[in-house]
Amino acid sequence: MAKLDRLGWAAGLPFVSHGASIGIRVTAPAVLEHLSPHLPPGWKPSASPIVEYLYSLIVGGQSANTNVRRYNMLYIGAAQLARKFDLTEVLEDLESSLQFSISVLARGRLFVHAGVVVWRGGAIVIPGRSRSGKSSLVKALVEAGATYYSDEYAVLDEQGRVHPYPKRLSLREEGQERPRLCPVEALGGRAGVRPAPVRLIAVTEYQPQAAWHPRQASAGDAVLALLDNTVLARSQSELALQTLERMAVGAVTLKGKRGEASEAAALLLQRLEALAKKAPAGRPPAEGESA
Amino acid sequence: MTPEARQDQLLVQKVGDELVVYDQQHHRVHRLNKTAALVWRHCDGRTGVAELAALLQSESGLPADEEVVRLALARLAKTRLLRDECPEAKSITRRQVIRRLGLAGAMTLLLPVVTSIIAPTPAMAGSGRIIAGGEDCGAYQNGTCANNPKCPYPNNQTCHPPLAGQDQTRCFCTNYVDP
Repeated sequence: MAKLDRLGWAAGLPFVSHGASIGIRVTAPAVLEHLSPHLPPGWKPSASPIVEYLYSLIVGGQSANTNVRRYNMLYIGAAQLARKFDLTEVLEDLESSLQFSISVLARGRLFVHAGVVVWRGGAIVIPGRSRSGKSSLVKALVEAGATYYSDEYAVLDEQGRVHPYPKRLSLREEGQERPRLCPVEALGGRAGVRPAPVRLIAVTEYQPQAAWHPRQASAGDAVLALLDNTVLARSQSELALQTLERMAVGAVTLKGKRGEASEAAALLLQRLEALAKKAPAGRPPAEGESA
Repeated sequence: MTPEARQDQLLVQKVGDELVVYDQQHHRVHRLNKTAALVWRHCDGRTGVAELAALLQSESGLPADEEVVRLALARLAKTRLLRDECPEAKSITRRQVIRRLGLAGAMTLLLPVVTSIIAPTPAMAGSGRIIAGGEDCGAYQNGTCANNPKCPYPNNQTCHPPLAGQDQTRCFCTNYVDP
């Protein structure tokens, strides 16, 4: 770490997001101007230089006087995260690592790895690991008119309501090694701004040629599936159990393999629409529905 | 010897008529369906198998058969939710009980079920690959990296179980990047 500290740091950005304080220092001030789209949702600049995690970005590029091409290097603390010629790729690595750091350091919120959209005032939460097809299902739901909350984390408060975490969608395309980062607006969708109650939990995974015939699972099943994707399941197990119980008992849980995202999305929205009609009258309008 | 539920280092959450039990010692999480939960809650070291069977009949509608209780005890013993050895936890399959009692349709859903997962570490629950920093942060025992010293940076939340290709008896400080 001392070796890194000795380098000439030209600029830095301390910020907070979800109660986590993070700093990024760079060797080239111009890079800070390009950082904004890579920062986590809800970030705010911080006046305090004291941070929990410190990222260091050594900017490489072509040397002016020689033909030497230098790597861009990214560190968290003293540990190297990335060493690449392509600065865009390094910034995307930074973005991904920042999301993870926030999920670990967040205060008063439980981060569950899941896709989330809201429709008719109720949230659909799709827990799942990487490459289970969450983002493509979230994309199909947004294209069908749902409000985007996240394709990565369900951010839950103690009441079990889900808060927006509208990062750019990570869309994997055939033949591409890295996912394409896509703002929800580019899909014609919009991001939510208010917390929403969870009405539907879809425990599903993409399987080619599968037709989606989900079975209704118990709330206990839902808690287990959500806990399996909870970032701090081990260190915050008590909070996680209580929060997930509150969330799951108020929701319907569907479980099963799915085929094409558009087919599953249409069925999920139909199901949620039916649930919304049964919702108690007199409650205030929620995200995605008119007063 | 009457069965007795383990109490220490367990977090128990009631979810509807089921229970979700977090085992803080082994970092396993178990879902007990209504019947398994009923048996487990009444394993007090005093209630015998016959009494448990009668209790099941009155509360769940299953036949008052001791084999159902033994099936539940076998599942609970396997997941280390009972204290000590339980001789009543007989090795018996669900299929054998269904055949013996002649259960069909929805009645089979009433049989005791315990579903388990390993509680994920932060990186396991994440969405990407882990880039191993490689620094050894202690022994990997009983499926956990508990009681290990903190990683120098950022902190012990990045002390992870070994990945494929690493020493499977050690934990390693890791960093995390999405591909």
